[in-house]
Amino acid sequence: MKANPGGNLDPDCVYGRENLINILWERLESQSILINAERRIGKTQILRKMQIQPQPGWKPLFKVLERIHSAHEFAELVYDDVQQFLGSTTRAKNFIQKVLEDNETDYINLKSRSWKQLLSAAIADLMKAPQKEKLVFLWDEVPWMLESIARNNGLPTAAEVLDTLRSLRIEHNRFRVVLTGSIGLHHVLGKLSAAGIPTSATNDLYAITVPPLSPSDACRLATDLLHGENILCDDRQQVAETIASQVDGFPYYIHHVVAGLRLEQTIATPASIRRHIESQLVNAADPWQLTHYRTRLPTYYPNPDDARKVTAILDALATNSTPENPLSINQLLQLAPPHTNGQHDREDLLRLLRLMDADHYISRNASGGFHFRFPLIQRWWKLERGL
Amino acid sequence: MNNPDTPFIRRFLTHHTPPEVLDFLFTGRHQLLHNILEKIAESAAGGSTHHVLLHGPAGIGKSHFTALLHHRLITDTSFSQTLHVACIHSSQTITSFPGFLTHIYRSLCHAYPHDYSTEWLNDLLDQPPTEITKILTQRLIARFNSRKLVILAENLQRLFDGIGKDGQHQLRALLQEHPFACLITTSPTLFSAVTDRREACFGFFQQIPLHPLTPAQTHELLTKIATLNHQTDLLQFLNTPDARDRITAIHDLTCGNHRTTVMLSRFLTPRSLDHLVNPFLQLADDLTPCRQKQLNSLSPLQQQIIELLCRHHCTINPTEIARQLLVDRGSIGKQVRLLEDAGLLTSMQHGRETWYDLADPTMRLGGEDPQSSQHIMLVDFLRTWHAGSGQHRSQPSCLPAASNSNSNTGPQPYTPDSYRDALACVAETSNTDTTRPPTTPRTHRAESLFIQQRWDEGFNLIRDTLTHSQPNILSRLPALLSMIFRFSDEPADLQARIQNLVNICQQAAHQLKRGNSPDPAAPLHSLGTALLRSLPDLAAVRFAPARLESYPPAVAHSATGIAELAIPLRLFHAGIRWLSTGSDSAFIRLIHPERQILRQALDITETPAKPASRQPVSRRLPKL
Repeated sequence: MKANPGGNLDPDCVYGRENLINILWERLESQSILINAERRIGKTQILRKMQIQPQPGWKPLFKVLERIHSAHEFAELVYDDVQQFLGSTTRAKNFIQKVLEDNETDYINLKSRSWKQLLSAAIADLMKAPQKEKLVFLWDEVPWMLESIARNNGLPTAAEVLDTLRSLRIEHNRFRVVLTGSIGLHHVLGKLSAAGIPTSATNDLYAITVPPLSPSDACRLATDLLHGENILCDDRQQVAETIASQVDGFPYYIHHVVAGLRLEQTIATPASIRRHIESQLVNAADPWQLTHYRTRLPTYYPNPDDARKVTAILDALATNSTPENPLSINQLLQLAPPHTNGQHDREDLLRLLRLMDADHYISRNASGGFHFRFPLIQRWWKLERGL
Repeated sequence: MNNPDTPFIRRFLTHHTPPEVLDFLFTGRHQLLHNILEKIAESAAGGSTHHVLLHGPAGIGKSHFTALLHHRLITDTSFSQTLHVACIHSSQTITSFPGFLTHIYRSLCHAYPHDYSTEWLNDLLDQPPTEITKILTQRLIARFNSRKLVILAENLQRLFDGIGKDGQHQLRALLQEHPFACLITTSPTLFSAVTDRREACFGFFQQIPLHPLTPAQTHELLTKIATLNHQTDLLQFLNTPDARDRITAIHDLTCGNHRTTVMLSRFLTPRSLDHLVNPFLQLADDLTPCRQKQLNSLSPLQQQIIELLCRHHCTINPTEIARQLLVDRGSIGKQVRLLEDAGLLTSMQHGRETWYDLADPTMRLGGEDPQSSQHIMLVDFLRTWHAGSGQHRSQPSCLPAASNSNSNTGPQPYTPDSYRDALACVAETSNTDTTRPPTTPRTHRAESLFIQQRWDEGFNLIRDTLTHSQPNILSRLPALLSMIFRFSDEPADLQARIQNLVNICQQAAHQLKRGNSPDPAAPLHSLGTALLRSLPDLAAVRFAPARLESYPPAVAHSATGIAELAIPLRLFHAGIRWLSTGSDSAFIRLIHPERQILRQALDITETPAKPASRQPVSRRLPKL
């Protein structure tokens, strides 16, 4: 196996996701799913693996929705996918049914109907048809599509798309989707809420976060990549373990490091791996684009006061917390105090911590303490901020 | 060259060069080519697909690489059943996603006429663009069900600008949903569409930088070109140590750029390579139409910025650019960033200031008055700087303190033999018996006299040696200068001794000129290089900053107005500033080849102020 940072992976080359995928299939028996994860953690590869190696009885349909710009385009896509899945016989049957039921005279021009009707008709067709396999839509880059729809059709339409999908899920209890995207869906919902269009269109979804690989899976991936790229190592197992631990089990960065080693043409040692990763973290050209974790703050937290407070919280966590020794709310109130005192401060801090958790900056352990979610990002943050 | 039997090496549109010529000239990237071929082989064989972006400035050899890769892919029989190759060259303009798909299909029609129908494509063009996208997408997905498509696309930045953000989303979505194609692309720079996490194609490509040629690779490439052109006399010269020194100078001036090296090769003969300045003037002349065209494609303000940098032999910050061009500071920031994105400028950050330089230093050779250009003087200086570097390294200094230096360019550690020589020199110069003829070399005796602070006798010996046409004493100038710097405690003494040495070198230069020597400025050039070669020794003795800072004014007092010493004086000044402060600000105003020289002089492996490192300079330096 060759190092392939960013490319499409053969499903057999997607390591350490079997348990997660099994959970997803189990969950799909009862409800739809919202996958939440940091960019480049491998969401798309999980969806592709589900598509290519489905659970018996399921027919997954993987679509990347970032090319969709309007609600109508989206409805057309769903309609076409459903019709293709059902095949011509069922389509004809549905056609007659519709003509009879709706007194529809021009079914050929069905697509010219409103997007909502089209979407509803497509899902209704799907649910009515007898199926050997259950269709599940694996929709990637949903937030990007919603942002496009908001731009082209307005925020209310974007909200309507989400609400319509929710009502279809409630109306048809066998209708299943897996939604995911590079940017958190909560940001789109936040924008809708800020525009006075509050929606709870995702609260029926089972939310799941994609974690980095476990140490053993990350090590296995690194070992196989080192072997595939014929990287000379003084001790391959030790080198693989170093790579896995230094990049927190992020498969993308494991591929990156091994690809970099291949280009360097040197003998890999744990020390050279540490140097290589350190050089990536301090490189002014920022090859891993980690600066985004800082520069996106004003976008994610549009209130300048919030962005400033989040920076202070991250500074405090970067220097004072580890996963083993997290910081409590009280400690954070002391180390990164918001403006005012009292109960208001605590509520404000809790609000921001919730958002930071959703944005993958931090994690909370069982005792309620907070720490950086990824030590790699913590390390970078300290270097970047000179802490 | 003009021989009809020699193949024509294209400097632009490289893909039109015969593949066997490209293969022969291919230098320093065989491992990378092998690596990319392995990635494509894996893509062809299984379910993974690789997307690669090779990036490097114009002329770095991107087109050469992709043309050769294309040739390997279509001639390797192991690939014939498993993949097809489509090419998008940098000369093709694409302005939409459907346009991108039609270009790919047209390329396939051209390469595989039995498999892809041009007529079908022509008929399709009657459809609206959205239908074309839909039909072509379906067609390509169907066609590449059992084999892979390799898309070789030059200048991805231009392609992405053309297809826009929407097209980028469509492309990514298509290749994520249907991974039937590998994108092997090139770009002169990294750009936001692939580096910004908010963009669709962030992290989509494995980004591989194409590095400039090393001096050894520049030598290899020039040797290959000379072989191809049957230039036997040049080939013979290229095998000499002198030629290797000249090529190191060429490398510093061309920044290891493949195209500039290939273009320069047209003007190389044993004689022109030896003198070096003329080939660069010819190169500048040859490049003028191309540069003019490039300038004309820029906005008037951008043209002014480039012209300003060509006129100035230093880096400039936006505030100074705005002041010089009489425009608002705010309007400059965006323009310089655009020029940097276009690969025409490079930048260095120092504190909160950004300093800009021309990405291609040879652009400065195209000025209105090249003969008087500082850059021509730089070419000349580089010739001397690298001349006899091997010989220089082989001669140990007489200075014991120099054993602290690790420099490759400065004095070398003392050996038992050189101690014996030094002791013999000191004994001989201390001997008052003038009837016995000296047995030790004059060069060593001069140093010995300086050690004993018998300055007048030392200077007389140097003058006498040069008058007797024994120029090998010039190679001792770094050691002699070091002793002047070390043993002159009073500023007036220092100034007088430097003045003495400068006068001796000037007189020697006049004498050579009168004798019609081919290189009359050699003594002054040697003095210039000696100034820089004395820096490691000054670093080793760890003088206080105040004392170090007194040296440049003392040298300037004697050297100002001597054209041959202008560049070394400037670099000596910067080197002393760096030694005394440890601040990378010493480097910030220097242009790239000058930074290279100073880096070599100070034996620094990494240039301070290089954007790739944030480690404070002081941590990398020995304490002074």
